[in-house]
Amino acid sequence: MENECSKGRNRKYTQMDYEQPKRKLAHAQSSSLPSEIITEILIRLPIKILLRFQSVSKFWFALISSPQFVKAHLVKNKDYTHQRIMRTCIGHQMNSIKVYPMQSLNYESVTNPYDLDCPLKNHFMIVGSVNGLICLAFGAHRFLIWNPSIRKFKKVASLEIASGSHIAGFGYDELYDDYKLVSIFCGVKVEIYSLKRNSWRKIDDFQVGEVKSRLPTLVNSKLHWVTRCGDILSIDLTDEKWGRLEQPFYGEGDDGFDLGVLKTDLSMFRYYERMTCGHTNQGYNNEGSKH
Amino acid sequence: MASTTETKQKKMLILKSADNDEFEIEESVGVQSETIKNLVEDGFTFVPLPNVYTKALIKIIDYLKKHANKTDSNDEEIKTFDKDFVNTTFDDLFELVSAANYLHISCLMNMLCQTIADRIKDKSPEAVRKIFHINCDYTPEEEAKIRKANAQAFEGQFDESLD
Repeated sequence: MENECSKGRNRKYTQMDYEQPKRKLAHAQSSSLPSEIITEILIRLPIKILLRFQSVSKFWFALISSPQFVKAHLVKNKDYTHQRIMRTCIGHQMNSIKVYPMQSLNYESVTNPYDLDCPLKNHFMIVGSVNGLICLAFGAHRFLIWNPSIRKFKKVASLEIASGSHIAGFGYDELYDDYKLVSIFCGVKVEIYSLKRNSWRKIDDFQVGEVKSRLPTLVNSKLHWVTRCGDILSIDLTDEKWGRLEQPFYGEGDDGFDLGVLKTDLSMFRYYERMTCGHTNQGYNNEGSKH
Repeated sequence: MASTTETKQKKMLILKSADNDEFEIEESVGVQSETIKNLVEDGFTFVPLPNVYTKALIKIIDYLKKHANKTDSNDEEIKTFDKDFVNTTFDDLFELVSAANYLHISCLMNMLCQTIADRIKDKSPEAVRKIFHINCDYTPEEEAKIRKANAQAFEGQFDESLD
């Protein structure tokens, strides 16, 4: 068995590290653990507990609220962020969002969903969710980005748009650590909102046409939709450019297809009369991914 | 005889604690610490550790010795050792975690940080302050405001104990 200790941390000893004792622990005991150690401890705690611990001191508040901590916490707990699914209940009842712990769906016969306290009480749609953030659409092309874990939301600057067919997608740009919202209007105009920039920007020369699928598929910081002519539209959230992928040729019969994610690849599912056929587009993803 | 020769050939290191106690350990045991490993690679065999006090260093050497001899068959034994290792006071854990951080022993860091996190997760903010020896620098009004903003994080009963 490999000794875990031997892996070590890739941090190289430096002269400075070595020669300057940071503090006398024997006397001070634990009176002032350095922030790097406090971070290492707190990063292992769930958000609800971190919110409680914000009231420990101003320093703890600043540490827990810092973007660096938030990012590190997300990375550390990545395995858990995809364990929930959501649905809206649309009908006679008011809109609500329920969370189903994925674990219980897989392993238990009874699942106990719980309601999220949604900031919108009237009719709304879920645009998408990523890294625990949920994007909701309401009214006439209005959006808000909501973090249910800390119960905070931000209204997105309104988008000036005429009435007509309108489709939106929400995703995460891994390179710049930014959240982006894409709005496609009548297949002719595409605008992207960046949470960091806090503004919309129009994508030039968009020529792909109308999209067929409502919900896009997020792979490698790109949102993908199936277009009406059967191609795949991709919007790169990092460089804010569009692209088009032709669907693979399968021969006779066209019953349409859907997009999905298989591990880290974009995948397509075609419907035949009696069976479903999957195809992953690995080459394309490798080409588009960072190395 | 063969074993004596073998022992002689083993490279040894001397670690010196912040309170000037010296400990001789095998190099293969010591290099589980990245800090020590880097010094050994630079040719040092005498390693002063001005940030690590004797009490913590003794425990850490025990840990390194145990983990250096990790095999498939003593997995359970090491688990039991680890469990006993972290079964101590918060102040001891803090001293150990500081030493492990300084020595860059990642598996020990993980274990200690996880232990501390598990042990504070049900505590009240007041208990956490006492455990970490932190003075509350909020005014009562500021604290009330923060608690109000995160009201849902304060639902239920919390553990006020300090162990």
